[in-house]
Amino acid sequence: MRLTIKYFASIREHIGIAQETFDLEPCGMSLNQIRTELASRSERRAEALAADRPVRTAVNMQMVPGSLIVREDCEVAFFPPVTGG
Amino acid sequence: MTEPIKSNTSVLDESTRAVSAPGIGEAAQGTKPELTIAAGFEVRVQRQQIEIESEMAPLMRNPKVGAVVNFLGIVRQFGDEDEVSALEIEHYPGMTEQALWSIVEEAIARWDLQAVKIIHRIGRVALGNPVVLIVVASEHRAAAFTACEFLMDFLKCHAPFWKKEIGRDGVSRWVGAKDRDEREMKRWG
Repeated sequence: MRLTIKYFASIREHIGIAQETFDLEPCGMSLNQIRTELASRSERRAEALAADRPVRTAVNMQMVPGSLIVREDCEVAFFPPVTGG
Repeated sequence: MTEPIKSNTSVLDESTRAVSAPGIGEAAQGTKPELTIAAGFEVRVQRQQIEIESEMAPLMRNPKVGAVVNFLGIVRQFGDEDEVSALEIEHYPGMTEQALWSIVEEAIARWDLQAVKIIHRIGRVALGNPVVLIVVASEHRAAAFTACEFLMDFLKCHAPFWKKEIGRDGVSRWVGAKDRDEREMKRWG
């Protein structure tokens, strides 16, 4: 499955990119596993997505918990807790 | 009294684009019942200044409206850092509008409201300027007061905006999420 990964705010700045695509085999991986997989790909990703940092996740623009399992092509976003208003 | 479905969502920036209220598309395909989003309900993300009077005036033309309550969030000098000169606000285009519509729908389900308008700025906003405007209109004041507070509490925790404080020294720092915002959102159940 092909995932479009988006990063926002401090995570985007730290990694240095706003968006990337990620081909994943096999299908069916939790967002937490995807986060760990991305973190293994570079030092900057590892820092920005470190397990002890408060990172929120969205799939197809819906905020969801990291335990959610992704099974098909979709847009996954990683961002810090929101601070609007 | 209310006019038929007319969602009014827009992102006013260089790449102006409109996004329908969630569910409107599905309703057209017959997969979901029609939403009761009527004229007077609007969410908008914009780079321009918020013009308070011109945003509020149309709501008063609805003869059923007897109360209008608004919340205006302003860039203040002392935030996480002292001597803030501006905020730089980022958002998640598309998700922001969906999240704001969900919040509006939740408010409509809880209170009898005539109009709701949420306008949030993105980009740079200087000290003393509005960042967000929420306007709620109802027949009587109680619903408008309560719904306005509810909308703001939910926006704080669910809408994908991120603020960065720009100090007078030119150094910028991301604003951290506050535990109290989570607590204030949870009291609504």
